[in-house]
Amino acid sequence: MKIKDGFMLRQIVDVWVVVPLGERVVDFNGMLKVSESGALLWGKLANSGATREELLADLLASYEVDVETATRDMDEFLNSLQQAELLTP
Amino acid sequence: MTTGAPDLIGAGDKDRRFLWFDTTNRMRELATQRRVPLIGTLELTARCNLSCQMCFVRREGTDPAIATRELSAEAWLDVARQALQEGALFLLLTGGEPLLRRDFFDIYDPLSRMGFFLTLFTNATLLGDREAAVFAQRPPSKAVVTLYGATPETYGRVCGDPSAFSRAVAGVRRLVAAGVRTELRATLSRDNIGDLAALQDLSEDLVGVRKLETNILLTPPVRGASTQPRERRLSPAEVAVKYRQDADCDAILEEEAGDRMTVTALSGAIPRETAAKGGPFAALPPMFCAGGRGSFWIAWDGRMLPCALMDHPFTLPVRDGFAPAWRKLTGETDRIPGAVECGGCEHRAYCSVCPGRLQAETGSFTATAPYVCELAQRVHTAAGTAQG
Repeated sequence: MKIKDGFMLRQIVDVWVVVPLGERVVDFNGMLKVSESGALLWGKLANSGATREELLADLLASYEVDVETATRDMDEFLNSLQQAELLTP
Repeated sequence: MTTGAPDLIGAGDKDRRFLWFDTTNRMRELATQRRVPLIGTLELTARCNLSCQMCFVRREGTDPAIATRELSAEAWLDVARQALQEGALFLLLTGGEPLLRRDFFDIYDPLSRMGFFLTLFTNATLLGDREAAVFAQRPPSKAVVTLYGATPETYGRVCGDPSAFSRAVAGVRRLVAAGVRTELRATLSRDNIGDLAALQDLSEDLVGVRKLETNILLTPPVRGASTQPRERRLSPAEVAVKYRQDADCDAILEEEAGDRMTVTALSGAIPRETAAKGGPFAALPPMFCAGGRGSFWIAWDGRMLPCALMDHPFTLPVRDGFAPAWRKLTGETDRIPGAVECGGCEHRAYCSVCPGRLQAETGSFTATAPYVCELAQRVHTAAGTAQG
């Protein structure tokens, strides 16, 4: 799965935000505030796309976290992106 | 680690708007502390097709001498790209009237794809079908249209062009029809103050909101403008009455002031508990807003300033590069002196004074401005808490 085109992930001071670009403002006028690990996932999904397994592996490699917690958090993140219609298969 | 769901923030329901203010306020505080240029304004031109004498920036719309001194589209885009790299997120495009530039969309289109939150200030009189079609495809996050009256007659009196009224109304309708989030404001002078109620009716008709933000504290000309806002603005007594009558004002003040700041929307310098006690107040501190520390204003001629009201200090981001110019500007801003004479003033909690306003009124950061002083005294008296 992959993030739709037309968004930019930016770190401003201590805050990670996703900003819509150009035409995207039509259906997404606001911004997405994401956590640091959310930014990690967003980066993967926006650049080359990734499977759930790949995303989970990245989280586990980057953070001291158990599989169950990482899976739960990742699913919450992905579900939100699905609901906002920001993901493509 | 907590990844969790991302927060959708911005326009929309109350929770999203709260998150927007919560997040952006936090970002502004951090940016100001760390000298990150989070908030920027590009004053694309000082020229305007209207002739409002209460404007503090306006130059003649057809003046070729001014047009040739404005930054080129390429220069604006280059400086914007550099600002983005330094952390700029919120970018305002204003003038003069920015749509007066024939190359406006040569600037707007690339900017809309760079990664900014764009806000556009316009009088909407030049906003035809062609412009609306572009905004429908690539809207700014927000368009803010200033209205100058509720009738052609008032536009004639204020702007020198009665026909501008119908064009402004049509422009706003095009923006709304294009799906652009549009806010209306009004700049009030002695030439249009009688239209306020009608302007609120018009706002309700155009954008569905009766409450429109008004600017009544008009600034003397800056950066070489030859308009006459001092002659056209309301007296301090009249402004004080307007403040008092404006039922929305108190709510806005309380909302914006939060727990830390004082009762006036105009001063952010005084802790609430000090204001509640009625002073004594120390001398006016140096810059207490984000100007020159977390925000910048690039004037039409390429000078970067701490805020709209100032002529100096300035730096030259096109010549020197944005990052060096920004660093220099923050240093210069830190050296802006406070106004010693404001120390001990019993009206400080009700005063609109700030370094930018003092410079616009007097040319100095440290001289007191009679108009501002009288306004503070009148507002204090109107609030019913004046001492003696």
